[in-house]
Amino acid sequence: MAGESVFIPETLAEFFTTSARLPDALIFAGGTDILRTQAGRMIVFPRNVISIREIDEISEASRTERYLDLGAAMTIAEVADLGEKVVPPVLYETLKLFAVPGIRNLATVGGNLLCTERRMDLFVPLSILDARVEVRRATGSRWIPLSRLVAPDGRIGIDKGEIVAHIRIPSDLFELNLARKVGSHHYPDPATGVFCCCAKTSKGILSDFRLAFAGERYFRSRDIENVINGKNLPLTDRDVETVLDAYREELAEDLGPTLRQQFVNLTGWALSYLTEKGYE
Amino acid sequence: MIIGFILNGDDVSARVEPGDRLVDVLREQFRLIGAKAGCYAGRCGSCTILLDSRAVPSCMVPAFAARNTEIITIEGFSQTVDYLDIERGFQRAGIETCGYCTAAKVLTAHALLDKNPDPDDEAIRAALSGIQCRCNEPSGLVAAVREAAVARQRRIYGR
Amino acid sequence: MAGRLSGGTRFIDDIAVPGLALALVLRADSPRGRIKSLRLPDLPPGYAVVTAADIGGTNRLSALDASLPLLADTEVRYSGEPVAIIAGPDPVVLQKLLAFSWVEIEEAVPALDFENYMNDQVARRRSLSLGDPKTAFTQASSVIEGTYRTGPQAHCYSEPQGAIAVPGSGGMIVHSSTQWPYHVRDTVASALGIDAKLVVVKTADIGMHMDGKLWYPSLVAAHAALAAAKLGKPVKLLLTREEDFRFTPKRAPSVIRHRTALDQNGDILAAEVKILVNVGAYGPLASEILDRMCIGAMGACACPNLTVEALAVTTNIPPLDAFNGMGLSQAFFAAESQASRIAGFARRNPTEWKLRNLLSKNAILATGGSMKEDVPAEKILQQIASASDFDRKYAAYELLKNTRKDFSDGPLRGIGVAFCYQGNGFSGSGEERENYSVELTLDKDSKLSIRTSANSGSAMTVRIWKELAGSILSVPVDQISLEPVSTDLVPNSGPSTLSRNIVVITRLIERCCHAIQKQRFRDPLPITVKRVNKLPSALHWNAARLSGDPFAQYSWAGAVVEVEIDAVTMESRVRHVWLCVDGGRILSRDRARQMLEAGCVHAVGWASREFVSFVDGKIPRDLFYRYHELALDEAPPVSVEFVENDKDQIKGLGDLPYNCVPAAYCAAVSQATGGSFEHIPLPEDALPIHMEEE
Repeated sequence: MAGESVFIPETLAEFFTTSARLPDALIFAGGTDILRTQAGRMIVFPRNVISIREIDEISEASRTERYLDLGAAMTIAEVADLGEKVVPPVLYETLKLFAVPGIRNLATVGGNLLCTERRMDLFVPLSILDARVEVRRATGSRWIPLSRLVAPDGRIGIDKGEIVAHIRIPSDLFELNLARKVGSHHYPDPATGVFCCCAKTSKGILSDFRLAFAGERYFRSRDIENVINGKNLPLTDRDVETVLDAYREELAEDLGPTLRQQFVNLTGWALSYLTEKGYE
Repeated sequence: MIIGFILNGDDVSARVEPGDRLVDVLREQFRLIGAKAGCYAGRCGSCTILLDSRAVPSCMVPAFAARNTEIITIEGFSQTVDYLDIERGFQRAGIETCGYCTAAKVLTAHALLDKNPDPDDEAIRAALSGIQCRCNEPSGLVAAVREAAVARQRRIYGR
Repeated sequence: MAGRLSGGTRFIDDIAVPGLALALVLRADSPRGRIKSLRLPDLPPGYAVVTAADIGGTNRLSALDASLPLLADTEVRYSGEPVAIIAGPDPVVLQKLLAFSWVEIEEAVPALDFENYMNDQVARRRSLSLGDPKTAFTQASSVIEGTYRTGPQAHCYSEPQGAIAVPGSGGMIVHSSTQWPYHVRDTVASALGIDAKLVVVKTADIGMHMDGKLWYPSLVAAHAALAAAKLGKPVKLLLTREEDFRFTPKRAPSVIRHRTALDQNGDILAAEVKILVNVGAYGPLASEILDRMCIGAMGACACPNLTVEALAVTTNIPPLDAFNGMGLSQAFFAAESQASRIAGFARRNPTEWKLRNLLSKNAILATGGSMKEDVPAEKILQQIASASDFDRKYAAYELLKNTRKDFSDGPLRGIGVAFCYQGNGFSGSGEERENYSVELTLDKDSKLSIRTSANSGSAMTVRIWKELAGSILSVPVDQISLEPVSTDLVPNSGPSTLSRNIVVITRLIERCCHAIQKQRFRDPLPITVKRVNKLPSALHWNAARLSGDPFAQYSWAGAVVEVEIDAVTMESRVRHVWLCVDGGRILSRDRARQMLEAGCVHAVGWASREFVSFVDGKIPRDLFYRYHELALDEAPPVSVEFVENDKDQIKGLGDLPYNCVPAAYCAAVSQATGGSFEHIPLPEDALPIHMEEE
């Protein structure tokens, strides 16, 4: 309403100038998370809004042999359009399960990661891919892991005047790549959960197992992952039960009964690929 | 603020408030009423337009975000040859839409064919999954988009 | 068609009227109480507020036997009840004015529960009795009981509720998105206190209405008209989707208890059915819904010894009323679920059990009348069983259920079947008691015009009408026009509901055409003919006692639903729906198939996913963001087949999926899980909780 102002910088330099002047401004990228729960005629914004949609420097992807860099203002659809050959499989699968096409055309990678209410879809695959985030400020930049970008309690690890510019995904090859979504695929809902699992093997040994889940809570335990890392393949039924028990215990309080059961089942399902039954 | 964008091929400008939604600006300032202001929550898809060639719900786009973009509404799209393919497809399949979601379906079908000229049933259903309407009749819609794909291939490649 | 495809529609929001002001509704935010005061901000020039005190005519809307205030005066009966209308030119200013307005209510204890109702909540009571159930129960070799619940469903019609009122020359022109234009006219005229002829109602495009635009549009139109009269300017009142979702009527939920006495073979000897339906505040369509639930209490099963007790209960939540299948769909869900339970108990194949227990020609109906038609149960059930491979799958899934170990055995599967009818031409309470008519004119240059107030929303229906008239009168279709619906130009053809457009209007058009055909060789053109709907005289119906023959004719359907439950995520998915229909003379197979396919999807939605709940008498705001229909990539494949027959009766089909698909779905889920699901929609956690308990 009256008094609100929108600023639309076209370069990062312009952005930093504006945000220095208006440190409390809302940073607007795709806007889907801000708008999706406002069904009134007019959108309610805070007093100042900085739209970063027109900043090309953070809207493009680049790739080297060692990593894939995604611009934080890239939309989900733009990332998916990079194709199956470029995007790591577990991320690619998650993108396909993301909301509906119209929303994929608007929602951005950065916006999805920075949702404070809960960890949204992309947080899960990017987290297990050990992606790092470039946080820019006027005077330079720093790289932080996802776990520091958004803390488990939803606290955002970037300061005023800073902006998430890029997400860097290491080009690791995993033999096992699994992504599933439970609950509504199309709209965020308390019953929605995203599950991802990756595993590397080497010389008959499970060398790198990673697994994460985001529902009402985000969950990943490196301690449990390390329990089975180094085990011989195929895993025995006992290995699987040990891991499942560990997750059951960890999750006892964190999730509602349905999501917890789904997570444990999904974990069992993922592990079954590494047992005699599923392992090739 | 005043924003400039390309609307159905023309350079236009509009005076908008920060809280204005693109769908309302299109409907009220430009009288382009093919996009319906259905739910204001990005759920029903009735307000779909093409924004830089991508089908998006225009209720989820603040008007200011349309600055420097190219927007095509059903009114503009229906003047193109591309539209004739979709029209033919819908007519061949003999489906009846309620009129409220129709522009969304036409534009979404076009955006799909633009990227994927020969989509399978699954791709068609996925592409249209953001349009919630009680008139959705799944097999007819899939057939309509398939027919449209055939029409387009025939027009472009003569086969 | 092309016009519509390229955006050429005329919904309420599309209608341009010069100088149009907007209106918003100020709603009570308490489910029950007494209005103490109304605080309104100072209005800028050009703005107006209408309260109950400003109503020049009658502050009342009548729908069948019930009525409700247009604007709450002293008493509030549900959260969201309209108390005042604020109108003016600028939407932003209006929003602010609304935000600063406040209804102060002295709260009373609301009645939110309908299952444990108090006597003063009972809006209507009905009962039926047939044969000698008491004795039959004593002779039973077993008695099966079940309690079946159906939930509310949101219509999600194309456009939210809305109207435009344009004042002028002592009267009012109203653009309305309604199934019942004359009801809008009469409501607006009575609100304004003017002669009904001074109000002209023109219908806007309606799209899909799902029977959600029967009477509520009259309320919205009255609000718009009152504001327009006060402001002296045209006014548009269009609810937002969220407002519409939270505060307008939904499908009436029900609880139905069945007690069935069985003989030693497991066949029905007698039954006792207790029906409760929640009609929300005021219960505007309570009588119609309750009567239909009573009539359908046994579904399509024959039962010589029967008692039915039914209550419509009001609660302090928004009015709950019609949705496709109104009343019958709830009754059939319960009756067919009970049938599945009995077949399971008797260890009999469900289709075989049905064939022995379904109605047949000359069977006595629950209302004491008799079935005058052949019941194509065998044909339909055999056809659908073979199309779906029901018998093999049913046996296989029974077997698999008992041998599975864990998710490595793959998904759980189940299959269910249900059978139903749709009653056409309800002789019951309100539908046909007035002289509803259609008028046709064949003019001098052999052009034919059709005049009816039926708002079809379907280009295909219009085409059916034109093709039918064209074939009788040998007039090319392009020479036939359908007059735009405007109450000053077309006769009152009644509400467009329960397939009346096809069943009643089509037949009236047919009769008009035959009459013109007779006259045209004697009399000069133009010839105008009007025909009034009459119920077949052979039917005996006593509305007060609910006895006799309730329907003029029946259409029939069987559904098979196959579900799959992911063993890992415990999520259910419908693999396929098969629907087999005997609908008499089908005028357009394409149209029928499309309508039935969409209906099957919505019926699955109702049974599985479309979840509405009330918290403190109100649909919580977040539910609006969570409620959704099955998306196109979630909708099951549907196969529709028609049973061939040569009857010439035109029958309604649209409600059939709602009457049989939900029960088939629940039966399938029950088989897949080995549980017993008797509640639609299935509560969100039902499957996981059930499977965890295993």
